[in-house]
Amino acid sequence: MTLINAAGAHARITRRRVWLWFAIVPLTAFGALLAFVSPGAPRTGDTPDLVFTGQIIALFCGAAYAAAFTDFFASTSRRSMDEIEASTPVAPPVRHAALVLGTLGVVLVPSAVVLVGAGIWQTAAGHGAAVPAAIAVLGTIVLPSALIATCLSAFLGALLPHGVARVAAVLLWFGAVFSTPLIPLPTLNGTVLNLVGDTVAAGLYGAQPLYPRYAPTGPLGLDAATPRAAALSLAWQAVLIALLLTAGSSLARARNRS
Amino acid sequence: MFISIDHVTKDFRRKPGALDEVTLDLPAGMIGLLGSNGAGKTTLMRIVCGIIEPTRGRVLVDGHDLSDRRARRTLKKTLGYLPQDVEPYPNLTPVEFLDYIGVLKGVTPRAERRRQAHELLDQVGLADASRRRIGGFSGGMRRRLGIAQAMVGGPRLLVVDEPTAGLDPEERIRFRTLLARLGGERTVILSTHILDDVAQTCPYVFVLRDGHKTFAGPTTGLVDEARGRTWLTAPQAAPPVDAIVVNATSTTRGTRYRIVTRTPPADAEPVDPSLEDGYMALATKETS
Repeated sequence: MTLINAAGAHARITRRRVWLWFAIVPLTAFGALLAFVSPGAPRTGDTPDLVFTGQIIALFCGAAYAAAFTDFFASTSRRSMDEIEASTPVAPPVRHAALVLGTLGVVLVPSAVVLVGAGIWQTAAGHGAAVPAAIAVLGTIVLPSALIATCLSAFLGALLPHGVARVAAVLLWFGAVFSTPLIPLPTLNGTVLNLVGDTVAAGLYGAQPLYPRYAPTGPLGLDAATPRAAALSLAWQAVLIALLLTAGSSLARARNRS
Repeated sequence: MFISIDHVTKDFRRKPGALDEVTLDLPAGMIGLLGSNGAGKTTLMRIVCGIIEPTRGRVLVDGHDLSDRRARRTLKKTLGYLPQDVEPYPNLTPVEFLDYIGVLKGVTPRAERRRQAHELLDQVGLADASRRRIGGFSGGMRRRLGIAQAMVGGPRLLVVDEPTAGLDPEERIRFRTLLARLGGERTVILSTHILDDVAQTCPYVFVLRDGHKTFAGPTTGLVDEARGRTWLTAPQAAPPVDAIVVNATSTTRGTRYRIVTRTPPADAEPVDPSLEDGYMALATKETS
């Protein structure tokens, strides 16, 4: 109950950061528009379309989260709020989980509106299970990637000066998720480690990956489009989130107290 | 609540010996913690609040060692802490902020948190601002909200770090009165370098200097450090050598110096010492 109530307070704080909406709403709208007009969209009128929309939104909004949350840990310490919170009986992991949940719960609202809206549209067009499918896509594709982008941003913000961290986080995010023959660098796209849900899309929803042509083969490749590979991918993403969060919070604490 | 600080040492990477073998027993009531900047006051308070752990030594609260996680958790349930320069989340209203602190302190249900929030805002004189965002508050209002958050859940131990620094005289007096009122039923540790705040509110005081305890006892005892050594000089051009000048008053015939020394000038007259004189006398005793 403490976690939910504390997350509620952080959700309220995030909701009132007006500039955040100016970053996230246009990017979500851009992602949705791109998914709608893209020649690569499946256009099946059911779940693969929702998955594609979710992935494109995750890809672009991830950049906004990466730029926005470099002060994730520092914003509390600058105001001595970390000391006040540390003087309460709630353990640091619970407080940080509340911060992450509350923040993400709010910033995901535009993505949820787009996906559920698309689900309602599909339902009206005769695809019965579209709204639950949209919620599932939100939970398994958009949410994990948003969490990774936020935690990456928070970690870099604890490690580097904020201006540098902001640029580094956006570059790192795009480097990790954009697979293009124009920039011949290895990315995580097309692998089981994929950060915008290719493995989950293929394994759980039978959708095509975003960049199948550049996907590597072998143990990390997409050749195994199974629910097991999807579960493995989600587990990996959870581990990555926990690692980034723990490392970022430890770095921020160490910096405050040294 | 009985707090015992036993040979506590704290080394930071950038400041080894921030605290060095400090041993103290803190009685109930208002306790002043004095010391210059960098003396180790904030470090000691963070240790007492269980926010950081000492490098060596231990802190016992009602006989429970704070190195034990369960003891720390128990302490934190009955603790209120106001750090220096607190700036609560600017996007929240004071009621929402106090509700959040209530959540962290385990105050249930929500109705009880809201009741406490309104009661505390009333106590600190912020009832009229309960619907405004904290971002628009003045420094004094934020300090008062800071003390309100420290009081959420009715703590038995209240630790406040330089709460009156930077406040205007009116706000300072109001804040001091509020703290004194709170001290009646609980242990309040007031860290400050404003001696007047301690003189007005704290019957017990301890002094830190460069990480060492240099005095612990009744506030009158610290005043007594300067008894028989406090003088007011006749008007003169320059202060006497070998004396600590506590303050100076300009007159048409020259400047009169209030000094602490064992060897006063022949024309100096003895005066009753104040806490400021006692503090300075203690400092000279240490350096001599």
